[in-house]
Amino acid sequence: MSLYKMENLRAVLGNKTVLDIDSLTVEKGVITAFMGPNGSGKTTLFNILAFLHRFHSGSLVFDGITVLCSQAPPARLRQRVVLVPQEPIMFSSSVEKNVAFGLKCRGVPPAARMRLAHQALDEVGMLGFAKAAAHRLSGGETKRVALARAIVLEPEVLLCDEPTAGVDSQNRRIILELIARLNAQRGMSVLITSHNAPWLTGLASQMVHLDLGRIVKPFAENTFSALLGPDGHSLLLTPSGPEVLLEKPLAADGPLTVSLDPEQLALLPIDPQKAGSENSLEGTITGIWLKADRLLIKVNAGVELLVSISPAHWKTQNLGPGDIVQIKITASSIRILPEQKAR
Amino acid sequence: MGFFWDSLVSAINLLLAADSELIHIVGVSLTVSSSSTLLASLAGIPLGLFLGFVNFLGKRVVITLFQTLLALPTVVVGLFVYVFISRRGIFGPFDLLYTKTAIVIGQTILIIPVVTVLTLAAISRMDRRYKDTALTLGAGPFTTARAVAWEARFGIMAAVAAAFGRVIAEVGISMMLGGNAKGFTRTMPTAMALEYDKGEFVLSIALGIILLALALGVNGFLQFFQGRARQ
Repeated sequence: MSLYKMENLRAVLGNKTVLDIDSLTVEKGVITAFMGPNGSGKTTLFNILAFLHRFHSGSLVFDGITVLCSQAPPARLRQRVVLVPQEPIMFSSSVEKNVAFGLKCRGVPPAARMRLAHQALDEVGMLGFAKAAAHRLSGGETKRVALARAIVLEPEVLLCDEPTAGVDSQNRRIILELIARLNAQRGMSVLITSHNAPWLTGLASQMVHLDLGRIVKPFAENTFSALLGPDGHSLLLTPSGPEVLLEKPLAADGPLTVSLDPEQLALLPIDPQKAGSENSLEGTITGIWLKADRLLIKVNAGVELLVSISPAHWKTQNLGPGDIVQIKITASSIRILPEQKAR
Repeated sequence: MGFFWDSLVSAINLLLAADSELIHIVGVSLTVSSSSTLLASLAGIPLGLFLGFVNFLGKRVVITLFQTLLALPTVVVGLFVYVFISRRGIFGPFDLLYTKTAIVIGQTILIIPVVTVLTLAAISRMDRRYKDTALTLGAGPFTTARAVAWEARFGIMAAVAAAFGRVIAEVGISMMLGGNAKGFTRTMPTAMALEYDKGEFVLSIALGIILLALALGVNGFLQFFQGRARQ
C-alpha cells in the first residue's frame, strides 16, 4: 500500500530547480532509504514530505489525501508525520520538556506527558539526562533526544534526515537499532536519507537514489567521488580516502564519480607478503548483514566498502567482525558513473 | 572638572537627603515610563511577531513604515496627541491634557515602532529550525510563534529595554502633554530642562546623573535575568 505518491513533483529555489521527481511511490510500513550526495535534494524532499515546505508544481498524495502545491499543507497532516532533521535543534529548556513539547501541542495532561517523555528517553538511552539543559548536549545526544521527541508522538511516519551523520559509532548503533525496532514492532513507516552509508542496505527495504534533485538509476553502493592519477594508474577514493593502485589504467580524466560493484569485489584474509599490492585495499570488517541469499560485509578501509559474497564462501574464509582483510578490486568492479547534466 | 564634581556631589546629596520633591519626580518618571513601555510592549511584541511570521501583500511597505517611525520626533507625537486631547479635540471631554495619562499615551505611540521593529529583527535572526521543529512536532501557528518568541526572548527584552531608554529620557512629549506641573507631571528630563532654564546647571546635571543611574539599574536588572536564563 502506498504512503506517498509523487508525480512530476518540482521544487524551485530562486530560479533553480532543486527537486524534479518524475514518479515515485513510497510504500507504507517499511523503511525507505533515500541515498545521494550532498545537494541531491534529499533534505528538500523531506521538508516537503513532512509538510513543512511547499512544492512548486506536480502532485503529492499522502495516504490517499492529495496535497496541493498552491496551498499550505493542512496542519492535521503534520500531526501524522514527524521529521528529525539532519542537525536537530533543541528548545532552550530541559531535555524532558523538549520531548514533551509535541505532547503538549496535542493537549496531553502534564503528568501523562512527563511519563511518556521519560519512557521515550529511556528508549533512546537518555533518561539520565531528563533534567539536563537540552541545548548543552553533544551532537550524538542531541540526535537521540530529537528521536525521542519524535517517537514519543507515535507518528505514522518518521522522517530521519541523515540520522547518523556526525555521530560516533556507539550513538550510531543505538539510533539504527531504534529505527529498526520502531519499524518492526510498531509498524512505523520510516524514511531515511544518507549521502553514503552502506548500513542502509541492511536496514531499508526500499532504496531511492537521488542526484541533482532527480531520481537516478540505482547505482551500486560503494559510490565515491574519486580523483584519477595523471597516468590513470591510481584512483584516490574521496578527497581524503585511500588510494587504489590499478593494474590497468582507466580511460578517464580528473575528478569523477566511481562505483565499486559489491558483487565483483573479492574479500581475502590479509596476506602480509602481498600487503599494499596493486588493486587491493586493507580494512577491518565492521558489519555483516544477510540480504536475500547473499551476505553483505561492511569493511572500513579508510572509506566504508560493501562486499557481497555467498554464505558458503563466507564460511570457507573463517573471518568475523574486527578481522583485518584485503579487498581485491578488479577492473570489472569499477564503474565510472556518467556526469549528471547541470540544470 | 570641578563643575562635574560639584554635580556628582550635588546628586549624592539630593539622594542622601531623600528630598521629597526629587522622590516624587523620580516616581512620576518611573511610573509613566514603565506604563508606556508596558503598553507599547503589549502592542509592539505581537505586532513584531505578526510581521515576522505572517506573509501578506504590502508587508514590506508596513515594515518600511514602522522603520520610518523610529525617527519620529517627540514634538510631532506631542502635537499629534495634543490635537486629540486638547479641549477642542475629540477626546477633550476626558480632560486628559496635562495629566500623566496624556504622557503615557504620547510615549506609548512614540515607542511602539521601536518595540515592533526590534522584535521583528530579533525574530528574523532566529534559526529557521526552531519554527520547523515546532511545526513538525504538531504545533499550530500560535504555539509556533510563542515557541520562537521564547527562543528570541533576549532580543525581545533588548527591544523593551531600548524602548524604556527612549521614554525615560524623553522631554518633548512630557513637556507638551504633561505641562511640567510641579508635584503632578514633572519628570526628570522636564525638571532638568527647567533647572537649565533657571541657570541651575549643577542641579540639572545632578538630575541627569540620577536619571542615568536609574537607567543603569533597570538595565542591570534585565541583564541579571538574562544571565540567569542563559545558565
